[in-house]
Amino acid sequence: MRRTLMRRSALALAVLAASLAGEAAAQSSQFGIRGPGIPGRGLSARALGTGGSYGLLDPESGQNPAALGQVTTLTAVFTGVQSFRTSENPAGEATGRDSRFPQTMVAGPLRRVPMTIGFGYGTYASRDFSLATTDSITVGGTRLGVSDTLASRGGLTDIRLAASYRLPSDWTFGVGLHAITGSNRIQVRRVFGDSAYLPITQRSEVSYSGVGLSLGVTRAWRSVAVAVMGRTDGRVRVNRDTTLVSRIDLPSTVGASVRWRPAAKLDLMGQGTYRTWSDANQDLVDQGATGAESTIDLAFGGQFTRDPRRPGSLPLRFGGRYATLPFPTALGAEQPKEVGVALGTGVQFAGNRAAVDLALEHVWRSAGPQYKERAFQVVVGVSIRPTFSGQ
Amino acid sequence: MTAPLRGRLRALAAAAAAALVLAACQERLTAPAECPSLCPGGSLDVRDTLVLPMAGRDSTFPPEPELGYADRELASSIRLATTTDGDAFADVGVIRFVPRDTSFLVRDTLRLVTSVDSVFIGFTVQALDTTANGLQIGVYRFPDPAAAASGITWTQTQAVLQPQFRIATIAIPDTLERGETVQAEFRGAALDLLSFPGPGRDTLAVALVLEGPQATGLRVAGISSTGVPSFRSHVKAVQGDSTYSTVIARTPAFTSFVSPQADVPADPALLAIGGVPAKRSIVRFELTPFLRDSIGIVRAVLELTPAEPVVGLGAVDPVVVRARGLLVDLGAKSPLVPETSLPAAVDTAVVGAAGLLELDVTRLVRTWQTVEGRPAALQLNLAPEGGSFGRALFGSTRAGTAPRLRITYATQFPFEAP
Repeated sequence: MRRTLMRRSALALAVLAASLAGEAAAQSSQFGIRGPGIPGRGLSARALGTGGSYGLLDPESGQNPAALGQVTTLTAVFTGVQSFRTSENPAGEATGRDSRFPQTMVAGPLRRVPMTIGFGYGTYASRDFSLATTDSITVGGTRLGVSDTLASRGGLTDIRLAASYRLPSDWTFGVGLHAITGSNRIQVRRVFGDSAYLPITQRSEVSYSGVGLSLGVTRAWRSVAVAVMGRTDGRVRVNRDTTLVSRIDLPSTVGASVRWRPAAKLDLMGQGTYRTWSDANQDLVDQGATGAESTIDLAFGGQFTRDPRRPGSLPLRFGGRYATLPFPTALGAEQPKEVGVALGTGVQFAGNRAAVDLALEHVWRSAGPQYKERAFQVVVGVSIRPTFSGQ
Repeated sequence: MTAPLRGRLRALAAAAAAALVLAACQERLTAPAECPSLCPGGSLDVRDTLVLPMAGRDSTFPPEPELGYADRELASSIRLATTTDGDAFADVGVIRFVPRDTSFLVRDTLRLVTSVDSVFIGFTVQALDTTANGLQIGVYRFPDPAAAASGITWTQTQAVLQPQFRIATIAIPDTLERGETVQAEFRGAALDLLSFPGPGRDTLAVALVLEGPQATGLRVAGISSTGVPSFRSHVKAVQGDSTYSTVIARTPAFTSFVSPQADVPADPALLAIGGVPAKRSIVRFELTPFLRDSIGIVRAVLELTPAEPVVGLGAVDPVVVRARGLLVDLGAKSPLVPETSLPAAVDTAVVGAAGLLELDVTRLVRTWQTVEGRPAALQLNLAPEGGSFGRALFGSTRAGTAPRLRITYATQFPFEAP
């Protein structure tokens, strides 16, 4: 009976995950317009509530395959983000908002071995944007005003099949295979100031395909836990309407995270990751992009638990982060930066078979004095453990 | 309800509300940008190019000077023009009505017409020069109605334009507008002018002459138009003590107009449109695969250079040049009635002008890209055909300045540029 329920639940979750795959994306940003897009973070709502400071230790995040070892029952996690932002650049200022589902995962332990298998997808890089520009051009000796709109939806998606193996000595090792896929649906439209010139719309689809491999390890002591992760992604093939147009080197990633529990109710976490986006620099410059620079992401945060016996009942999560973004707004321009603060909480119910986590994050991004962006993100994570039976 | 349960319900409600907020929010991504720094791929590249017709594949149809697509006898208008010497136009209208019956049916009995009370002959004016005053139409009756038939000539008509055959004068009010009707009324002694000498001779044929202090013209509705000329007779039949009355209305059996000289025959080396009989021209282009498949057309203009100043009576009729696309290139076998389901490009030529005429054919040329097998050809004609005063001769690939198609297009956007 229980096995049947488990199978049905897993099937339902897989179907749901597959149906949502087309919507996966991180929040849009003007710093995700050039290059492959703004990189996704692969974090759950729980981890985002701490500023991303323990993503490598979080089993519901997609950063470290070894973290899956903490999953003790079949678990499905969905994450949704509502983003509100204000962007400034030399052309003006605009406010925008969007809803995305950047992270979904299904994982569960095997029965006779200390292994956990997980399948999930997340945003690798998001290219969701719409740009409106005005200009004037000369056609046949006549000066014409034009209004252009360039809209892109989609990006690169990271589909991960991962497994972790837990040793009796509290060491957990993990490996993840990544399929980097996804597509951009891009549309450009021009309207002329003179109605004698008909508006023109062009559409195309740019798709991506590549693979990656991630390895991770975690170790937990009495009050300290440590995670280390390394990941390498190969060259992604870029196809325009099924024709191969280019290849882009994707970065390697290394990261480490530590969690310290100085008191029963308090956890403090820190994490750092480094991604060699500069590997993609030459490929991108060759194709007319603004290049790429390697990035660093540092996050610190914590979680205050009101009742250590019920850690899932409205804990207070907090955190802050600093990161650099890989794609400058112009060739040789200053590398964009990102600073964020986050707060979060969560609640478990239905006998801990379900949980909702909330995170609020305020992010400031900038690249020199001319390009600025403020974003306020509401993150909701829903996790379901249909077969959970313990505390 | 216990406190922990209430707390959980509150939390659940909060989570549901948060999920609802997420689902309800609409997407708004558009932001201003400064190109090229923030624009992947840069901007759309818009260029223009000139496409010349295929050499020798632009021609006038039919090539014979005496033939056309809309002859004056089938035209929707009857052209009238003052006959002052030296005028460019001197046109006399000719109309023959269907014979008037000499009896009419009362219930199930045919009653012989015994008297005619009044007669009205009316015409619908389709176009006129509203600045010309003091115009009138002289109506002359053909002594032999059978003469008003196909092939009638200017000389034959002149024999009718004698004072003894003049039966009416219709004044054209200065306030008359297009589409309004004028008519001649016959009562009393004037009815003698419309007497028919014997049985079987109740056929009325008239010639119409425009008269006025200045050279001008007008058009009245012809046989293939709405508002055709009318011939109405209010008649009586007296049988014993009974008197029966009715109106016998007759429509034209034949309409045409004659001119002292034929329209200038089209030089077969040039592209002619309009005139009488009405000519059409076809201009064929060959688009390169690049233009047909790889660009987005934002504007296409057909440039026509008159080989001689455009002829017409501009105050009466604008010389409307029309370009249509073709579903199938039948050449000279084009249907008499143009395919009106296709969009048409229209422009008005200024009479006497010899400068470039530009027709916006963007929507026509775009169909060459989107419809497989659609011929890249344009048919040119004049509106209305056959009965208007306008005609134009344009240069071709063989003589004068050839037509040109100026295409403004956007190249394929480099979507793959990151």
